Amino acid sequence: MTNLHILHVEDDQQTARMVVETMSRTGDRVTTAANGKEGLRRASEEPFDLVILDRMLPDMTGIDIVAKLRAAGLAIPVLMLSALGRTENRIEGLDAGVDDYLAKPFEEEELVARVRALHRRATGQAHSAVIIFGDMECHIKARTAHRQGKHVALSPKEFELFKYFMQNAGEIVTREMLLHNVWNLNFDPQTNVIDVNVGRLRRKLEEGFDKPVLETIWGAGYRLHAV
Amino acid sequence: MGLFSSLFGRLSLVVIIVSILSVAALCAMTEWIVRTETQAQIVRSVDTDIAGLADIYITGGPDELRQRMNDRLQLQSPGDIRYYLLASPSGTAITGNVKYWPELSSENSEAGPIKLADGTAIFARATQLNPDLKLLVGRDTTAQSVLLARIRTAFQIAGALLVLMVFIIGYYSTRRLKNRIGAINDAFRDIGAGHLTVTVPVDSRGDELDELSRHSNAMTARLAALIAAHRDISDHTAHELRTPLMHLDNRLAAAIDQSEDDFHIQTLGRARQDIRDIIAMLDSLLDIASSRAQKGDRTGLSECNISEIAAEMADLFAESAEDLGIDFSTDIMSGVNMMANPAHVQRILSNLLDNALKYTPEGGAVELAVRPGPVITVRDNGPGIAANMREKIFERFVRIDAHGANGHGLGLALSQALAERNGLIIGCRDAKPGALFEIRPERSD
Repeated sequence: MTNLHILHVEDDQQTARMVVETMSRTGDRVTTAANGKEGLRRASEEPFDLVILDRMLPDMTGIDIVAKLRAAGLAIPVLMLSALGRTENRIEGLDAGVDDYLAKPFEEEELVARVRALHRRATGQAHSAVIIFGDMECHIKARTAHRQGKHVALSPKEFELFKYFMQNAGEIVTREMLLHNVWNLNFDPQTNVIDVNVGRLRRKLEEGFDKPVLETIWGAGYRLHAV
Repeated sequence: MGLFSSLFGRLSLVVIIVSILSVAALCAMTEWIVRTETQAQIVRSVDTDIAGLADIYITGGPDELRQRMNDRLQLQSPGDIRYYLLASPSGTAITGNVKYWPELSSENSEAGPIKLADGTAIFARATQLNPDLKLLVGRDTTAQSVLLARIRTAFQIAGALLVLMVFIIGYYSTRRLKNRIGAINDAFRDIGAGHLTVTVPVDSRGDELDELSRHSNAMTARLAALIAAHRDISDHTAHELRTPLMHLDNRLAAAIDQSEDDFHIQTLGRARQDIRDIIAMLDSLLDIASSRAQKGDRTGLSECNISEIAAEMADLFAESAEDLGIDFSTDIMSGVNMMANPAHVQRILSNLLDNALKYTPEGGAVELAVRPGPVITVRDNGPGIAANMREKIFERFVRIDAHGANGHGLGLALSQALAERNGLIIGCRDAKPGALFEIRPERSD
């Protein structure tokens, strides 16, 4: 796993400390900027892999910062970490140019999963024509799934779900990530629809095979295993 | 807008009608004055002439009278033709330029308008000079008729010119005013649709319309400031509440990590869930307030395919329905579009489908249908909703709790607020059996 150098722009010390502790556990290095101007300067001058950006900073908004970064031609992936978590806040952030949006409070696993997925997406690791992971294959163009060489019949949405798991194979994928990336929903329906759909995919992937591949991580989400 | 449905079109029409009536009234009054005055002059002239001739007869006798009458006839001026007739009692002409005695009584010195044999209209008076001789004196009234005809013609031309000028001035004034009012209306239409940066154009004339525009711009700026303040308060409320809740959540998470006591872990876990519920409730309340504040605001709405959104939401919930043993079906007509915020439509459908699945027992059925309009229906054959609750359920914190479902009673209130934000309205009816929720354009109700 690649260790990342992350810039975290955050004025709340507790959040800053939590992000440093969380990301350090996965071997990543976090540099914290306590205000918008410093964050903008460091993001422009230093080669970070990813920026975690608070939205409401004392001197400027995270939306302004990302707009300035994009205007300067910096394509660095940005995860907005904000206390504003309503649908319209998320859509505003995404429209402004942030690559992902996570509302506070958040689970540590969710933050790690989002950072990893965002980095993979930004570095093109998730865009192969065929993704092979363990005994599973995902043929993006043909839209087919195979396990141990056998075709697994999936509905169009199940295939999208499978593809997303394969693109993030071995990593935790949270419910919110699935809602946003597979169903294009920027709100939590507050139901178990995601669990039910993942359960259906799991049955199809595991029926007739000895070893399970799709693990539920309690309180966090799911992870695809290689067997 | 038609010519006469425009305020200025109607105003111009009224001005034209008033101008025509004024000119006609002025013409009639002038004609009456001229007619009365000229008539009086003719009467005076005839009476003076006949009195003079009667005096000549008394002093000079019939021969002198004939001589003087002939002299006067010789001295006729073209603009003032006089008519005389000296006749026997039977009316036979003795002298004069009138051939036949008219229907005027000489015994009564009768006067009045008469017509001569050649058709000439004159005013005449008759008098009896002696039992064997009667006299008629008249004046041509043609000049009076010509004068009146000229006056009428002059007024007709002046009237036509006036109407033409009023029409031209009215047309250009109407067009200018219409353009200015049109620009103000366009600006208001944009402002009404939520574009609060639009300003009403202000000219340099400084007239009433400019004053109206300046007031409107000031009002719009104030409205924009209020909305910005509303949004600012919402954002800061969310921020100031979420941040300490997150700190609390972090502490609880740290305590869970440190604890080995299952009871403590479960209790702390429930406390963390409570924090998330409080945040979800806060977000829903802010979403409701924000949607209501933006009702009628068209910004952020785009042409979206309702059929596709409905199909995707049906796909998301189909598995849950199957797990619950509910027969979930769709009847979605393809290509149903409308101007809307797709995220709002997703959220409304998600809420209605979730409710339908929640309240429909195993073995029941739920159907999602989409028709042009758009008309979107979510029907179930569950226990339904009591008639007295069908409007109330869209209010905040109102729940139908008979089934012990979780939530704060904000889902339908939020759905209704989002629907109204998109020009839609959600109604609830009896599906006989079950409940039917129908989303349709607000204006068609």
